[in-house]
Formats: sequence, structure tokens, C-alpha cells
Amino acid sequence: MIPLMLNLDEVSEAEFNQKLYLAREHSRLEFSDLFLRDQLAPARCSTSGDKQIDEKTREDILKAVFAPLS
Amino acid sequence: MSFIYQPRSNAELEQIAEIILGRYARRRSGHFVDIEAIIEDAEITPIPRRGGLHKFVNGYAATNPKYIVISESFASYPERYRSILAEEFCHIVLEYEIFKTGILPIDAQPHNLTFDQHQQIEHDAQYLARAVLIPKDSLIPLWREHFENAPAGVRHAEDCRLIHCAESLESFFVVWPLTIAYRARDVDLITDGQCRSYFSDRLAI
Repeated sequence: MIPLMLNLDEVSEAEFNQKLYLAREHSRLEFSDLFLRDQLAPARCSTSGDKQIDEKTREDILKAVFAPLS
Repeated sequence: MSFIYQPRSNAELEQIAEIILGRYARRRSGHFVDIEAIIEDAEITPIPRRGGLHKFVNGYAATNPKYIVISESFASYPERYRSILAEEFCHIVLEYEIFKTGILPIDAQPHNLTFDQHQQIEHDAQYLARAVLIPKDSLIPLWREHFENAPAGVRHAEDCRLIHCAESLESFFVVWPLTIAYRARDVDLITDGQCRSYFSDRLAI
């Protein structure tokens, strides 16, 4: 999409992709760069059997949400 | 000041559903309500996540009401995915006054609610979600039509006939049959006893 918007030719697009690759390798964007734990803390949950979560589960949920994707 | 949740009556929840359906009328196509589009129109972003989230929760409304986090494991089954999204959206609608601050008071946090508060909050959000996903004006005639025209093979037994209705309507509303059965109970198409005996006590949730 970006090369299309910038109207890049084939050579420029290859160069763009190479630089994008290097930038991503140098500094990977993590989920925690985009979201804060406080803003994604669970407020109301849908659970199996409508079970109310406890404080430990709240923490487990946040750990799962912020776990790096494998 | 301690947190107080004011439960809604079913009549109030039906009214709120009508307001939502009216406000987002263009997101309704025939019997189908596009809840994902409604959520997008409301500038809320669903965030599907892995990381074993499904072990703890199906999905949740985040403290910042611009986000709904949902276990990615449901993404391949729209009938469940849509129900979860709808429920979380309805939590935000019903408690917008506290959600809009972006800070949930300590005693309003999910692990600090009393048992009764938790039950009431979940009941209201689930009821409203069903009312939005399965509008009464669509369900009642469709259910009656499928009941009356049930195939001979299922007419003989009440349970088979009602299960046939719920399962047949899955494709109209794109929600799973158990949710349709609950909604049929909400609008008095079936009794509470029929709902328990033929659906919730029978199907694995």
C-alpha cells in the first residue's frame, strides 16, 4: 500500500522494502509499544460459565495479552 | 463513594436495543445485524490476542472503552465471535458513564465487584447483546414460521422441534443456537423450563 501511495517505481520499491526490513530488524515494534497495560486492563469480562475473575486472573489476562507473539 | 450498579429491567434493555438498532439501522441487512460494523462506527477497536488468553477469558471490555480484547481462538467461528463482541460492546454502552473516564474506580473493577453486582452486570450485558444481535421483530415471525413448518421428522417431539427452530435460525442471525434459544426465552417464544431442558442443560457451553 505504501509504495502504491508513494507512486514508487520497481527500483525505488525494492529499496524501500530493503530499508523497511532493516528498520524492522533494528527496532521491532512490540505490542507494548502501542498499548499500555492500564488502558487494556480488563473492565468487564466474558468468561465460560460467567465466572467472575479474581485479581490473579486479572494479572494472568494482562500477561497473556502482552505476551509476545511467537 | 462506593460503586453502585443500577440493574436494568428487561423492558429497559429492549428499549436500549431498539435505540442502538435505530441509531445503526444501516448496519442491519435483513435479519443480520453487523455488530462488527456497529463497533467500528462507535470508534471501538477489537483487538484479537493469542498468548493463551482463551484459558482465562473469552474476551473483555478494556478499561479504555476504545478497545475490546478478544481471544483470537474465536475468530474462526463468527457465531461465537460476534456474541462475545456484542456482549463487550453492551458493557460499554450500559456503563458508559464510568467507562468514559478511562479510569475504573477500584470497587468497580471486575475482581472487586460483589457477587450480586457481577451477576446483574453480566445479565444486563448478555440480555442487551442478544436483543441487538437477534432483533425481536425478526426473531418472532421467523421462529413461528420454522416451528409451523418443521419437517415431519422433528414434529413428533417438542424438544426436537424447538432445537430445529434454534438451529435453523443460526444462519439468519449468525449467532449460535444456544444464544437464539435464550433470546426465544427472552421474548416468551419458549419457557424458561424448555430453555433449560432442551438447550442450556443439554449443550456444552
